[in-house]
Amino acid sequence: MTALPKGKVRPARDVIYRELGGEMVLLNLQNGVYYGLNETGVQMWTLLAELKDPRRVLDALEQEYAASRAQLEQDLNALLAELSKKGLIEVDE
Amino acid sequence: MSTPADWRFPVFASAEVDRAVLALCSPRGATPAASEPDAVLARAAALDLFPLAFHRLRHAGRRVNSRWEESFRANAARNLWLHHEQARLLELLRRSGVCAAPLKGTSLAELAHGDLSLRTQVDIDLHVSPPDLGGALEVLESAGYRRTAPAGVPAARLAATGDEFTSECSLESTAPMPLLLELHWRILPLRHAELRAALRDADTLPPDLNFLYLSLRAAADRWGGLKLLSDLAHWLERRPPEWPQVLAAARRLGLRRILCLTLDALRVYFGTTVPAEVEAALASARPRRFPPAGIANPFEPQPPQAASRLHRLRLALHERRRDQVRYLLRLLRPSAGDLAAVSVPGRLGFLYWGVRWLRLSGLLKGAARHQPATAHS
Repeated sequence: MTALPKGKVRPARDVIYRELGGEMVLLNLQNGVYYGLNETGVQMWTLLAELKDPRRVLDALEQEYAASRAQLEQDLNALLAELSKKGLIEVDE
Repeated sequence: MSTPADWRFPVFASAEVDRAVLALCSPRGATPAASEPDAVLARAAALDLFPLAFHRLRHAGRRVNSRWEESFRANAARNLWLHHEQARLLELLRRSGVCAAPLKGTSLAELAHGDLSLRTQVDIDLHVSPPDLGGALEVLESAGYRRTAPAGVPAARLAATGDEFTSECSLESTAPMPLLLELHWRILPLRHAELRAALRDADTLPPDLNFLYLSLRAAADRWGGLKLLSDLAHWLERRPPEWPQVLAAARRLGLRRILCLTLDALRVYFGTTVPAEVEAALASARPRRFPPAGIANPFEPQPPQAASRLHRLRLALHERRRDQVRYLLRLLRPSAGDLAAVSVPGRLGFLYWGVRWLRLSGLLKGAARHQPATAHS
């Protein structure tokens, strides 16, 4: 399993986001690519936007969900990889 | 014309699927159990009510084709972008000393639904006062927008045209994504200094003027646009405006009849209840006769209206003689279309009065060039 990024994570500069119609909608203004997050994704994104540090996000998720830390870490990692691939987040290494 | 004693806002016969859409888009409507959700959503999309209908169906746990989910998300993302761009433009205008206010759009979505994804929006609409039109165009053009219609007409001349039914110019921007912007400068029969003063301390129209402006837009479409009517019904349900203020402004601006008929439309289509004292206050504004063509059937395509019929209908919307005279006088003045139809040097500007007569009589047609219809994704 890939480890969580060590640096700070933040929404990319040209990305705007807002909870709309019950889901988080992220939009990259540079290329018009948009993305919707489900309920868990919204929770992860909100924590990331607030805490920046993926490890602290994982700690917060562990408090919130009845799932193993390993499972949550895997889910968070998958989301970060997808968001990064779509240019929606930036990671300070 | 209808007979004097019995004129009522007409109820158009609607199919079951239309009634299902109306129920879904009514603030208190029940989610229809019998209708097939995909058929309802297709009809809602045709009536420009898709996001609201989809949202209600999803909350009711109804299963729908996944393409609707994607359409909803695409609309939400687009509205998010329009909202962001609108805020950017308002800030640019404000910094340049131009007093501007957003009209309809995502501001109305938030006001009516508390969520800017729940209505469709194709462009950004902004209001500026006529004296600010030139400055606003400069700011917008320096922000990457290009005037499309009427193009080439000096701002000072343009600002002198129009009435509360029609006064806008269109601009477009292509980067980073195609976007249309409508700039309006005469949205209510109100002195611009008064409107400017109302906007000085707020970034939107005050609720009473906003409600009347939207009622006027509904009337301009002959109450045939269900999207706007649904927005108004939801607004009244969520946070009714201060009725005494709305009534006072309607009286002052000569818009009582338009307000009365708009509330009729909300009652007919969305079951809106209006306080008895409001109904009583508007009773004398109710028309005793009204041209049948004055109310459009929202469930059927609307053929374009001949200009002469349109002006007669708009005249019938004014209940006071002085407002009718004002409308007729304004009608005789050169319009933005006249300015675009013929190019006349500045010192010969008086010739536009003749152009106006020629265009009103149909002897001179508009300058718009016909282009084949195209579709964009």
